[in-house]
Amino acid sequence: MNTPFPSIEQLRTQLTSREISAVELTEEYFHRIRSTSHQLNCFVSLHEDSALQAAREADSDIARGRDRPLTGIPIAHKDIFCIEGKKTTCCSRMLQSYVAPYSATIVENLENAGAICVGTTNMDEFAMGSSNETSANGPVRNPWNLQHVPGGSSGGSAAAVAARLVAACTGSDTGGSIRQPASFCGVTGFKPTYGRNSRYGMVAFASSLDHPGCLTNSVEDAGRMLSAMAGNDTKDSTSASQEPIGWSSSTRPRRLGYPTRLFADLPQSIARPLEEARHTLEAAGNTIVEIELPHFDVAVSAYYVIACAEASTNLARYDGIRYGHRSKFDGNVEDMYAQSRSEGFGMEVKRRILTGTYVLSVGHYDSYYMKAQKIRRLIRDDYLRAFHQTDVILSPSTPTTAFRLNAMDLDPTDMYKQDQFTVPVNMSGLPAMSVPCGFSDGLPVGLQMIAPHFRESELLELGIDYQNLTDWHQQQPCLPKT
Amino acid sequence: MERDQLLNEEILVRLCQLSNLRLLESEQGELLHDLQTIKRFVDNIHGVDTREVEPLSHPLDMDQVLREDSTVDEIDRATYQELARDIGDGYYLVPRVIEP
Amino acid sequence: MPAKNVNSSLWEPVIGLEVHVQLNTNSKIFSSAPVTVSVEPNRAANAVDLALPGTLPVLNKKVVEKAILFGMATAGRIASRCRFDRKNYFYPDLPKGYQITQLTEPIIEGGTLEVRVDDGSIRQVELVRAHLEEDAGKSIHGKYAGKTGIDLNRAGTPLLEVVTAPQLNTPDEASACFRTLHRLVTWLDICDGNLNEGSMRCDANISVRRHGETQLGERTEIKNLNSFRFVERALKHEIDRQISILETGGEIVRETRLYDVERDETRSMRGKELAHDYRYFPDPDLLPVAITQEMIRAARSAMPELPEARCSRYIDELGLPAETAHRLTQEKAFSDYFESAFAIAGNAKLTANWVLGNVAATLNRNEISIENLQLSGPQLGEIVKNIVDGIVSDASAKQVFEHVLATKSNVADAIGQQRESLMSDERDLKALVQRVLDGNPIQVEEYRKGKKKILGYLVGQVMSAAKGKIDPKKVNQALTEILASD
Repeated sequence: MNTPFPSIEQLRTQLTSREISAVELTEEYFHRIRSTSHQLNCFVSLHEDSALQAAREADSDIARGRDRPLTGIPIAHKDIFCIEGKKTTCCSRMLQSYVAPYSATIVENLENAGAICVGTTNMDEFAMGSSNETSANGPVRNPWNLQHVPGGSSGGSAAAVAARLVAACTGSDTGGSIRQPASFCGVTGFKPTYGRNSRYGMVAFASSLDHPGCLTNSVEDAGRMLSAMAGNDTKDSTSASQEPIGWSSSTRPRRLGYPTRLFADLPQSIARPLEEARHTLEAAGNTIVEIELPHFDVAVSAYYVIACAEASTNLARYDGIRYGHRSKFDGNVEDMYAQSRSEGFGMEVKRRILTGTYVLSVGHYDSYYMKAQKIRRLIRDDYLRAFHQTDVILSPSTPTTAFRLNAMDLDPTDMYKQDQFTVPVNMSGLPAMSVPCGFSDGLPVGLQMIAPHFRESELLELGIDYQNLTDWHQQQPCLPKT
Repeated sequence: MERDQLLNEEILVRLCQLSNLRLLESEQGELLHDLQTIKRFVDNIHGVDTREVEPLSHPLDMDQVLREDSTVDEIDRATYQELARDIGDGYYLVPRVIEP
Repeated sequence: MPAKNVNSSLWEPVIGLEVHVQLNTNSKIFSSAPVTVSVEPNRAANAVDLALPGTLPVLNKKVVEKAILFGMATAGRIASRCRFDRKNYFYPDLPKGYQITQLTEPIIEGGTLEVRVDDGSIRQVELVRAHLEEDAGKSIHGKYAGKTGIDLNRAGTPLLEVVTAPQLNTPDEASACFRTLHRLVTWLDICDGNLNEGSMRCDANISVRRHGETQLGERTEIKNLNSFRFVERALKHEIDRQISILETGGEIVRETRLYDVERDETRSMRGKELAHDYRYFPDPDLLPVAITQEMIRAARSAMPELPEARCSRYIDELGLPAETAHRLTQEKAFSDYFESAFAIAGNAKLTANWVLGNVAATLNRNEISIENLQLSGPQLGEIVKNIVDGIVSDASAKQVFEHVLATKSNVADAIGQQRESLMSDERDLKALVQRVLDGNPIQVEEYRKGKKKILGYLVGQVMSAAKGKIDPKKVNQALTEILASD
């Protein structure tokens, strides 16, 4: 019943052949956004004027043959990327009225590639959450079932791409924040190697784990986005200097690492589509190599120690003085700090700041923070060892399909466990993506693929092969039009 | 051992002081419970043998790239200060800090 | 409570210094904003300095180079890899809520500083470490009713924090140590040394113990001493305070104290003491810094001759008295001036006398630094050379010196002019010589009898009659002529 949605390449062909103008395309997207996005709550702000202005410029560039790889392609940014002159709020009360004075490198790179930004997408507050329920702008709904969450923290981006309200979205992934919502919403979520995309201008959550990336309708689209986003940035000390991301269309057999134990405890509803995906890949000529990841079980715990530690000090800058929320109850300096921060941050952010403060404080540093950093090495080395005999590792993206809103309210660690398959990858800095591989009870299931550092091309090539053999990525949710 | 210590109310108060958070009474109980749960959750890291393992701060073994000592004129004070609530003569203003 | 009547001879103070040295780079340690003191508030603070969301630090290469230079000059161990940590605490002039510093892996460890105390004795003071960190902004109190103003221009200024071992035993030694450090960092051109503007700020750790005791007593820390004199005075007071507490059976409380310049006393910074827990950890925004052999080589070739080495050379090779050599090596520009003058004059002692005499007096009188003197080292060398060669007398050289200073003319012209104006007319000279001969008939007689050595006496007489404003060679010539002709 679905007609396949045009890929970025197809949109580009339509634009360059003047079948449609960038202005028309942009207007069409805004029309779609207006008619459906309120059901999803996936946007924080829309930049209609500047988008149309950019579309007019795109048309004139196309007319003069000066178009670039993404000229005229409508995209949206997760509300964590600074866009000069626009509100960047991280969906926190703390930054409710923050207008960024400069643009993130990722934002500039996409702009320079010709992409048109239609607005910013909803997210968990400061990217802390796996359901998009911690947003100060209210939860996003899953386009496949409005009673369910879209995942998080890039929930707005995932929902917007799934509902085809934009051609692609940026996202950020600290512990799975691109891949988990991509999996929940049935889209492709790509997190490249740490250092591949600049973090400059992306509001920090946990610096050594934060990865900018993208959410798209296909692996090929992800490749096009990443080619435009990536690159060495002298403003980010952790940015890597590497060959640009590329991929070829030729299929070749690969050795696929299969950590059997990770698939063993999954509910049938998820296990079955993943099993099927494995068979599809095997049938295509790839070989399955069983591998072990011995320290997988402690990864989430070690991750939360490190992520919270970094977050607790990254968020110390929000003091109400130079920007951000400043309490009216600021009679003295202590009040100014404590009231502004307490009013500005939501509960999950507070939990993580306090946890991070705890693990870094006197007497706990060695037994928690240092210990977790040692475990981090063990986890990374598990992967590096596995890559001696494999090209790409397969893994579930999530332990369940999208859960119902408010389902995880009681125990914060239930939510943390959502990220068990994704956090070890962030700790290791490896490139990984989630691709749709089926459905369970009408909700999408995602397959995660992980590659060695800076081998994004492996993922792109394998993913394109897989999507040539399947059509899960072309399935579209049916939203009632209003 | 340190890790067996309970994360109690006293510690919560101290953590709030260090991180400059002031909890409502209604939040206090909930947060204490949450933190205890989180602590139990992360405590399984203590079971891992990490003797002779070097801590890993960054996923990639890269070195710092150094910047040339040049200045870039990009300081737009007016724009920056529009973001602040209390400004006087170009200063950021805060409630009086009592010096000893 | 300044205690006066303490029996300080029973007690031995133990002092260690922590000196914050602002490095004189163009841009800040982690941002490309300028390092400057002379602009309006917050005009030299960019997005990184303001800690705007999403901004990241990138390390300035020059900062590392200057630290290496310091480490090399003090024979410290230069780390092959160093690292930056976050020190977490809230203060309105600390925009990120943490300071980037180096706790566990500083760029420099160890080293020594040769300190010459006022009594002339030399102490080898061990350095514990020198690490890099960023400066905070400034809080301005009292300008706005009930409010404090925050200026972040200084935020992110590179600092090298130098920590000495607790090996100093008197306020004099501590002050001399601070002064030696000041001389070294300005000599190396890694700091402008401007104490008034806070380019060097000293914290002192101080405890006292009974003589012969080996354990250290409880210590206090005195913060923000920004002059040599304040270091000395603050420590004197703090030593007296501690001794008087201990002598009356009291206990020293470990605390941070401030020196109040106006009241000339130290007082506790209670209230700020809310038992800190800085939660240091490696800054994840920065990677480990590798100090390469190439950087070490570059520093080695950029290393100037150090003041101690130069001082010894002046004594051993130039034969200058120790005190003279020491005075000449207090400041690099001053010493370089001497070097360039000496290179031309060829007489170290005379050049030194001129530099420490006329030159120093001129600098004092006009309150200028040697760089701004209107007479260069080579020019001074030329003047001194003329004295050495007997072309001008000391007194007329002094006039040439003043003339060049006043008119910025070149030395050769000034000497020429001087000599012309002195005795431009040959007849004037002859008349003067005749007058002197007339007044010394006995000597003239002796000369004529063959005692030619008497000529020198006569030249002296003429010179003194001319008040030195005359070329002795010409006098000699005129005398010989007149005596021969008679």
